[in-house]
Amino acid sequence: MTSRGTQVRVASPVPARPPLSVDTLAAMQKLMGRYPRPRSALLPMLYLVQAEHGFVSREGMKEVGKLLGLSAAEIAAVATFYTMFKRRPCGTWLLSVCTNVSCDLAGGTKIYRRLKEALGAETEETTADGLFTVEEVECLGACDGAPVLQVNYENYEHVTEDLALSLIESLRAGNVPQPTRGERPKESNAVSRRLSSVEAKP
Amino acid sequence: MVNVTIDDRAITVPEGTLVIRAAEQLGLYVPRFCDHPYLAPLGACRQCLVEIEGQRKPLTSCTTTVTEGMVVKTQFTSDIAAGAQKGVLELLLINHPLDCPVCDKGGECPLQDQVLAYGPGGSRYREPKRRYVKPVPVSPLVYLDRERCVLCARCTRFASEISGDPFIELFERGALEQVAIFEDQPYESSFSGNVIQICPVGALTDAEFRFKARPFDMTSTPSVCNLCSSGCSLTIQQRRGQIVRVLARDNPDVNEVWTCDKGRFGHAYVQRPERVVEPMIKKEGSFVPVSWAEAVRLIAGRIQTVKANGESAAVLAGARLPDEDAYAVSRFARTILGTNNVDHRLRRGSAEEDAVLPQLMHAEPVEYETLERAKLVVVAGLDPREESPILFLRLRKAALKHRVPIVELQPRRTALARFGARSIRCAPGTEADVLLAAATRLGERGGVDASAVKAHHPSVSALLERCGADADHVYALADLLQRAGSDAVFLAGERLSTSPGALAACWNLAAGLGAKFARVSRRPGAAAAVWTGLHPKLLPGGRLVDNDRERLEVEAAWQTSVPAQPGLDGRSILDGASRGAIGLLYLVAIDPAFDAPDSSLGARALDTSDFIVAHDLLLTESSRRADVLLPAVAVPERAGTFTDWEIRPQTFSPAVGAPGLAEPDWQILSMIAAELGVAFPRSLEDIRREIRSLVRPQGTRTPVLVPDVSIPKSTEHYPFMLLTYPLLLDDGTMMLGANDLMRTADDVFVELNAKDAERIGVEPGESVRVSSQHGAIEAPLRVLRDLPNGSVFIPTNQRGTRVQSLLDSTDAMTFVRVDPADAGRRG
Amino acid sequence: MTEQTPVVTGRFGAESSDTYDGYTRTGGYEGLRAALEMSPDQIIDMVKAAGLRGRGGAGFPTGVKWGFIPRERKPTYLVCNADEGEPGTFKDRELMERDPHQLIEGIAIASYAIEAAQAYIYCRGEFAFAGRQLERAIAEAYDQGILGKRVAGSDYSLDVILHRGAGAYICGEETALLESLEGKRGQPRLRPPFPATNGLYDQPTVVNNVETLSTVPHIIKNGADWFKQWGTEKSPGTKMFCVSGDVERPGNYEGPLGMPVREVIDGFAGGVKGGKKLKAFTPGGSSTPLLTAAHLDAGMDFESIAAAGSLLGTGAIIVLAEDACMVRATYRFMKFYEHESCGKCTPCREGCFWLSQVLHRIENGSGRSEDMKLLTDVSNNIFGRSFCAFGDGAVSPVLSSVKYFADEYTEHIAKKGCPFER
Ligand SMILES: Cc1cc2nc3c(=O)[nH]c(=O)nc-3n(C[C@H](O)[C@H](O)[C@H](O)COP(=O)(O)O)c2cc1C
Ligand code: SF4
Ligand code: FES
Repeated sequence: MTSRGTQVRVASPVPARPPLSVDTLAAMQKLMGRYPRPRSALLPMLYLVQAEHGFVSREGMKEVGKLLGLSAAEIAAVATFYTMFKRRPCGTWLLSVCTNVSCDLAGGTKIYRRLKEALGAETEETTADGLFTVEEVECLGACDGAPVLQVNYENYEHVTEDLALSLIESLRAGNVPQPTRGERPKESNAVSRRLSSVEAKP
Repeated sequence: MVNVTIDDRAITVPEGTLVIRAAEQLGLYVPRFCDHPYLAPLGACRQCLVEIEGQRKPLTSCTTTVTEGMVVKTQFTSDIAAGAQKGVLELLLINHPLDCPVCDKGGECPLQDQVLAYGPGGSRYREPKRRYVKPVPVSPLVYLDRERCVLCARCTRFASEISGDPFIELFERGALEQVAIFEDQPYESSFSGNVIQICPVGALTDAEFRFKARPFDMTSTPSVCNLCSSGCSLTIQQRRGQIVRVLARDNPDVNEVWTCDKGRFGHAYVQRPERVVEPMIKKEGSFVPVSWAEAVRLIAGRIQTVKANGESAAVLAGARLPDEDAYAVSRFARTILGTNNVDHRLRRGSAEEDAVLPQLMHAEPVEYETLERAKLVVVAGLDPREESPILFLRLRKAALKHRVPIVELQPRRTALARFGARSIRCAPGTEADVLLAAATRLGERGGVDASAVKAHHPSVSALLERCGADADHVYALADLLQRAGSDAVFLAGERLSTSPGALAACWNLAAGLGAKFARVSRRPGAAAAVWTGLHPKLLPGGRLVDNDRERLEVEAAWQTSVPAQPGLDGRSILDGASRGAIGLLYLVAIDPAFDAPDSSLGARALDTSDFIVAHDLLLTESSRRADVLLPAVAVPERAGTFTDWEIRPQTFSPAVGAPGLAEPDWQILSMIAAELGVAFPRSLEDIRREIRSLVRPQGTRTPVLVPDVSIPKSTEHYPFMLLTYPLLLDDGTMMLGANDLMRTADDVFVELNAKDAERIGVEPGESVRVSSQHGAIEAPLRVLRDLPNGSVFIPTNQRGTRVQSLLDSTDAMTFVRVDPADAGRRG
Repeated sequence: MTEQTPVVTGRFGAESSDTYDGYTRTGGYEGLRAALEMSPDQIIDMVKAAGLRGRGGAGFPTGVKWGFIPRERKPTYLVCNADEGEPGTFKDRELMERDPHQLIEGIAIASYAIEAAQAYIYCRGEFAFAGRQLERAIAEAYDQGILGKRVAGSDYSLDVILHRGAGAYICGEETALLESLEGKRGQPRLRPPFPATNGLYDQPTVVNNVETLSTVPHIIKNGADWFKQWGTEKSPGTKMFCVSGDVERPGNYEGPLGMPVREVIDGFAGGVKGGKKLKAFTPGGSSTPLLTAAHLDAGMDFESIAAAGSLLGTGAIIVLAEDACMVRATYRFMKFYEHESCGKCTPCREGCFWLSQVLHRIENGSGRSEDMKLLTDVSNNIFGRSFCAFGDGAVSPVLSSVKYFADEYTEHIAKKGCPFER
């Protein structure tokens, strides 16, 4: 199995992004109103930046800072603490392979290595076609399904090396396979928006 | 009080005391990195672990408060504590570089000390150390070396907790946690140097001091800052006669352990080659060095001639003189020159100022600590962060830690508003209206004796309309004042004196409430200038020249007569000089040709004066026009006293030697007196004794008359009212040579609100032309959200512009027009 | 095969148990209705009487915690800790995916008991599906008048706000969670003061685990004595055990507290995979010291596991079979702690970093004879000296594996490599 056209871009510079859309800003205002103190909306707002820009862009962090009355440094201090906020453009499909002990016992590490080899991508790096980002992650809280592979945070459990490879082929061909539970994963930007909980009640 | 035992020694300490502090009181030093007495307890570095009886684990002494009967064992008596500390030390060292020999902190580094005292001989850590690019500048003044950082978070906590400039933060997490700034946004703070001082290791270093000296090669002298009126205690460190570093010195009453960047980094002027180092006499248009004897003889002769001819003499002295010099100048003017023509201001005085200033001595002093206990602080006509940075920090602490409400009254919102101070904004020059409206409202509710307002003024609604302040805000102020009563504190900026009626209205409101009042000036010698009588109507101790009883007291002390007629104020002296009516103009540490609110007047006055004597450190616009130029010593080169805005006197002694033949101002005056054979103090001690006997608080406070002000209206041609005051880092001569510091100064700008900017048709960043009847300047526009309509702010004396050229010091207010710069050029 | 005792897992497998209709059809929200008839104090007394202990790992009595909330300071907050990240633990995720209403009911009862008008669910970000299930169930609950103004027709109002984390294990620690919920870096806070008096926004706050709160409706509905029919005197009730690793049937199983480990592994999870021998297991997630085959008869309750030298933690049993490499497993655990350490305190930040490197070296053939002492020393320098309990958890696998499997380390060092095939 080959991975045509997918090569690593090593330490690509973080690209600039345009100002946030009116839509996103409105969603941010809504989130800020949801909490007794607007700063509580910071993590959700960073998800919205990621939803629009594909990662937490410097422009987005500055805008969030303005809205919350915080310095850009204060925003970045928070953004860099959490692993789900990506520092550079993330692929359409984020592949997260758990290699913690229960998964490792079931072959998680081998799957991770195999995927990286197949995609030629370094950790936190994205394939040149912008389709995939592969990462090694900590326990995903689904050890009964070890080894676990997440695609945009949807679980594919009891995967094998072959299954993992055919999964990326399907994704590349535009077919999104059914995960172990729940819906088929959406593209990463849509997922980030959902993670902001902006659509939740109340 | 709580009784505890530490290392078998009993001590009684107040409830809430931290174990680490209680131990300090016993002289037991528990090692620490993150702990800092002025920062909230954190407990992160874990270096201060001690054993506490009954506890399963060792506890951090920096976060544990004492409880009755607690038995503590530190590393001196407990193997558990010693072992825990050793363990933490080993972990702190695994990633620490071994570059002590080239580290600025070497020799004063607690980590180094710790290792020396308890550390292992070698490291068991064999893996590669964490590597970072280093050093990285986080501002023009501060360098960061992340490899040396122990992640104690003192710097980031200082920035967010103390100064409120959170531009330096902890990024990332775990072993990658690191101090950082946001991309290319520098750590911009007027207080940035403090993070260097509190960094326990060499992670944050001083851009200027780097590699200059080792701590053990330097001699330290305690000193007091002479760059503003905050009164910071400093330590000046010199090596081979050169000042290499200035540190803040712990003084809980004043600056705690902080100082601003100006005080820390603004000392280069002292040791510049440009310093005037010998007496000089103007001969055929250029200066010729002479001996002190010759210079003094010349001046004495001139004084005799002027007196014999009945010509008038006048003295202008800068408000940056130490108390002793200010006093000597005041006495010199009265007893040697025989004149009351003496002032520290270059502008007009006013009846209200004349009425309030002598009473300031009667007021119960306001201290830094008072602010933390106040029920309300009203800040009027003062931008503390720019004009008295340490006062700003204390106000911030009062507001955030002690929940003291703060109301600022200014045309321009200041940094106070960033931590919740309420802002009442009014048009420049209309502060009196706001204060009178609040006082009237308060009077209507019986909150203050209405007679204390002492003003004939229009109705509240008319006042509010005139000043444009938000009525709700003014009523809220009245409510707060009513609640606070005599626990309110008023901080009146010196600028209030130039806003018609404002100083009087503020004074009366405070007096009526029995509240505390302090006048805060920007210059370090402003309080001394008033107390010692660098003022045409005031003698030392706030005594009035034209009050016979008071004048007699001074005459008795000086054993000579003093003219009973009030003299000329600064503006009148310059006016007189420009008409050739002053036979001898004596300048001490002042630069009227540059600083006078009407700069052409200053230059004209000097150019027309017959004879000018100047004491100065440097050649200035004014001192280069002198006939006799005398070299004065700088503050770090001498002993003296500064009285800060609180009226707290603090003495200092010389830290470095003076260059050439320079002498303290008082000494120069004493030499002239000796030449003339007139009695005059001969030593610093003499002067101090006289000050002690003459300058004492006396009398009671009474309301003063608020002038019936009719505020001029803007015209169609000059529709904007101008507000101007200097920012912390201006283009003053004292900033000479402080190049890194000046890189952090703001560029010049003109500030309008968005509506006005739009009306004129300029975008932020574009250049505008501001013109008045007297002159014009150009600078880029900034938009400040809630500057009142029709107001424009331009910082005074910012590098590249001279706002003075727009002003005329006889006008109460300056009206200007603002146009796009290119339009100005076209037509 | 051992029978389970389904209480919180009672609806697992039932049709549409994750919907409002499915939930109410099987007795859902009856506990809430009963609670709303009671006074807050009566509820707290009942939960105290039931002896329910927190399921988040520390086992603190839930009723006692609620009782700490001062009545006079408002607002108070309830925060549901749904950040489940402890390696080996996957019970909260399944509870949220399969029975989200049960959690909402528990939250409503707890909030009513502490007079909170707002509750937050801090849900681990990576739990996308669980998050959506909650989001949907919350919306249903609002539509059905269970949440919002006039909860279930009473005078009591409650908003439940779903808040997703963003990838940081430490945010499961309750004070770090509160920091994170306030939009800050998830670093733990100094204690005292405790969240009960100074929690979210400095107001009185209760933080409870998903499983804890999911248990509450059953206690209110059936009474304290009913709950106490299971478990031991000090650890009453049932609990979910998450079994994973080298077992035949990994999964969540619910049984009475105090049941022997052996029964959980063999009876529930079908025993060690492929009939191999058990080498080691964690009784409560990776932060609890490893135990060995010698401990299989210990009861799965707080006291018995403590007596065996470990902690019940989250009840997450990771089983390692005879052919698993303990050094590799320990290294892999340590890598987790290195990655997840928040960085605030020296021992944990530097110590985990160091331990992880040493373990990696040993596993990869560069071990030195002094390494075992080094591992123990460094671990002891973290244990009991770090800022929060993360540090103690982090060194548990190291100290316990060195204690029980020293020979494996020695073998790695002597052979300059890993002797295991797997
Ligand atoms: C490092 C660390 C991680 C934790 N993670 C979780 C977690 O993911 N979920 C949880 O409920 N409790 C977790 N806890 C325990 C919580 O701090 C807290 O005790 C618990 O949420 C209280 O709820 P309970 O009383 O219902 O158990 C963690 C504790 C520590 C020290
Ligand atoms: S032990 Fe220290 S570094 Fe580790 S998670 Fe807790 S506070 Fe953070
Ligand atoms: S000084 Fe006590 S923990 Fe740092």
